[in-house]
Amino acid sequence: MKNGNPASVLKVARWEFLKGVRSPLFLVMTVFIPLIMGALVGGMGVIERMSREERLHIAITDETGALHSYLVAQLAGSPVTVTRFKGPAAELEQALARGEFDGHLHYDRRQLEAGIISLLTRDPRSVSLGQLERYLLRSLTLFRLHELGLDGEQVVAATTPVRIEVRSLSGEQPPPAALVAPMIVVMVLVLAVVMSGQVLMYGVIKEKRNRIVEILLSSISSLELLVGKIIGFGLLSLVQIAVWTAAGLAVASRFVDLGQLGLTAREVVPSLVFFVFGYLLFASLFAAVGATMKEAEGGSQAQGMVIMVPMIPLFAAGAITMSPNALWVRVMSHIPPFIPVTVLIRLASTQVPPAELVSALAVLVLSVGGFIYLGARVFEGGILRYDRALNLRDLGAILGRRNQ
Amino acid sequence: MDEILAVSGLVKSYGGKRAVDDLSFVVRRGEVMGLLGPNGAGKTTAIRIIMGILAADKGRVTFCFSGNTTAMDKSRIGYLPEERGLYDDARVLDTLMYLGSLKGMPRAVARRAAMEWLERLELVDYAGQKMEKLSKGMQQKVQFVAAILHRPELIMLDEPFSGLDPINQDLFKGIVRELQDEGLSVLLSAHQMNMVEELCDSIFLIGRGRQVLYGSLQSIKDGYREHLVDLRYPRGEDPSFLRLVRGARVIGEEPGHITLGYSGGSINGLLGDISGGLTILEVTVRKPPLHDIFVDAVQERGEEA
Repeated sequence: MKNGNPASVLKVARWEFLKGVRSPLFLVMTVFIPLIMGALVGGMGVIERMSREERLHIAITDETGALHSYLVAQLAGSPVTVTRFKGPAAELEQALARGEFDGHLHYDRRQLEAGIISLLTRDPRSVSLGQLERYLLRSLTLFRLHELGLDGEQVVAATTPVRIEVRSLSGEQPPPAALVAPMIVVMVLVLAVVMSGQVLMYGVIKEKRNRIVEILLSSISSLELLVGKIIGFGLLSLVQIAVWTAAGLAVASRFVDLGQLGLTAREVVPSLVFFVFGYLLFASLFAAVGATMKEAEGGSQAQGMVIMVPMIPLFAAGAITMSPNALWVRVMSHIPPFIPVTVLIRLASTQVPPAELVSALAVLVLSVGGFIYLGARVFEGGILRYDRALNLRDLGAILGRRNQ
Repeated sequence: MDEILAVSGLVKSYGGKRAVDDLSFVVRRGEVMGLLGPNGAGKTTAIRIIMGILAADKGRVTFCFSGNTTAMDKSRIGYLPEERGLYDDARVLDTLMYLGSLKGMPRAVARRAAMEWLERLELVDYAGQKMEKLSKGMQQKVQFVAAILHRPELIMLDEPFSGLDPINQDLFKGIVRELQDEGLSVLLSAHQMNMVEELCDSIFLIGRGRQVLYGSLQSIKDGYREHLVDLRYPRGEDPSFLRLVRGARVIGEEPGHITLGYSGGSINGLLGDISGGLTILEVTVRKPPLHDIFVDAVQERGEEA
């Protein structure tokens, strides 16, 4: 493997960047995915609002009248209305069948004490469970406490959940948006790393398939080609993130005060550093995997597993967020393939000790050098194998060969 | 003529099988050298090693550009691989400029040179088109341009004529001759023996990774033991006694005309034997075409192995 000429690397990077920016796939990934996600979020909001406004009319049979009068007071102004029905049961059934009521609730003290109250409907699927839970259930719970003899203040005290409010030493409480924003940043970075790495992998497979690669290798070394590609696709990824961030901030500014997000350079810069080196690590791995494959569809399970390895911390994201400084998380922060995603999640969840950030970064930087070196070896050995995908024995032979 | 490329003791194995076994040859400045051999003989492996794309297990490749001996300078070599292709989603001119820039050409110079070649090959109207819009033959022309755009001192062409129609074969042949006239050296691998015979000054024939024949085209022909002898004689005479002449074999026969392969020694002796039994109206003696020498040499090597 020969040393790289920076000028050749930059020419490859420039070409890959410009070719990528002009490709329809980039346009789709960069512009349409945020649009689609925005439309989905907006659509879900509209659906949620519509479902909140759905009206329910419940008939109540209540011999004492206590529940009915309590519910009328509690549900005032809500989309759920209650009517006390005093006629015979057969007439009520007919009214239900005609659709005059959405349900019939019979008040029975024993049922209320047991905690299960039956609601009779024409079709249980046609009743909005959301509205029942949101309005009727809460009112019934309050009524039960009222029946137990609690006064208004006691009912309020019993039904108000206890919350832990985390504050800084200065006494300031970060706004909710400030807690969510770092996690959003992390998710965008992880998404960008994985997506650009995969685009790079498919680019390598395509070059192998259309046989351009041998022409390129007649001008530059495999290391120059690999590093140029990694840089070119990395720049594409940064452009993508810039577009997504700008679009995200533009949308977010309509709903929250951006100043409240509390995203300072001190918080964002470490994430960006781990993003850049994480990308280099993943990209060299993905490019090497691409060089071992014959067709994009022909990846073996082993190759699929290699691609999945760096994403393992994503599956443990919940546990990492809950215990960001646990010993196992700190260990994962120093295992090369897991470093980028683990540290990015931790940065979004907690204040990672600076010494630990530095040690994780040092391991990551060294690993990037090693991964690029090994990736280039595999790339060099596999890129001209047009006839079939490489197997583990081939890989062993390539990596076991002495440096050329 | 001084040497521009010297290959010495090249060895390359794949999993215990020797693809290239102790190859040594030189290409001289201004020379067109044919690298011949049957499929799987090791030609492409040898070319990839020379290009630095593959590493040899043993042996040495030395270049001498502008009088300076050097291990490798890819910017002075043009390469058209056998397994070739270009970016199907990139524009023709952009692709040529990129490949030219990788060979060290400033972008403006690469652009000018690319347009000149496209003009000459009647592809200028396609300069802004994506490669996928071009026919296979057109794409092959663009690939050929990519190999010579930067005016290399040495050009390696691996099967440049395969898949081309006769008109484009002649076009490529003319360009190779032109480049040779300008002092460029060419290492040419091809299966079209007529092309090789027309273009090459010297030949290196590989069989099973090893050297089978090597030398100038003329010396190889001269060294080949068999002559082809065409005889015309009056119809009605019987030439059957020729089958008994030592060293002669009948290759073709029709009334009044017979073609012999003769490897029995002096042609004068053969003519003396013939004139005793047949009236010779016309006789032509020539060396067999390269095709026959190739087939004979490869088969001979196969039998040896």
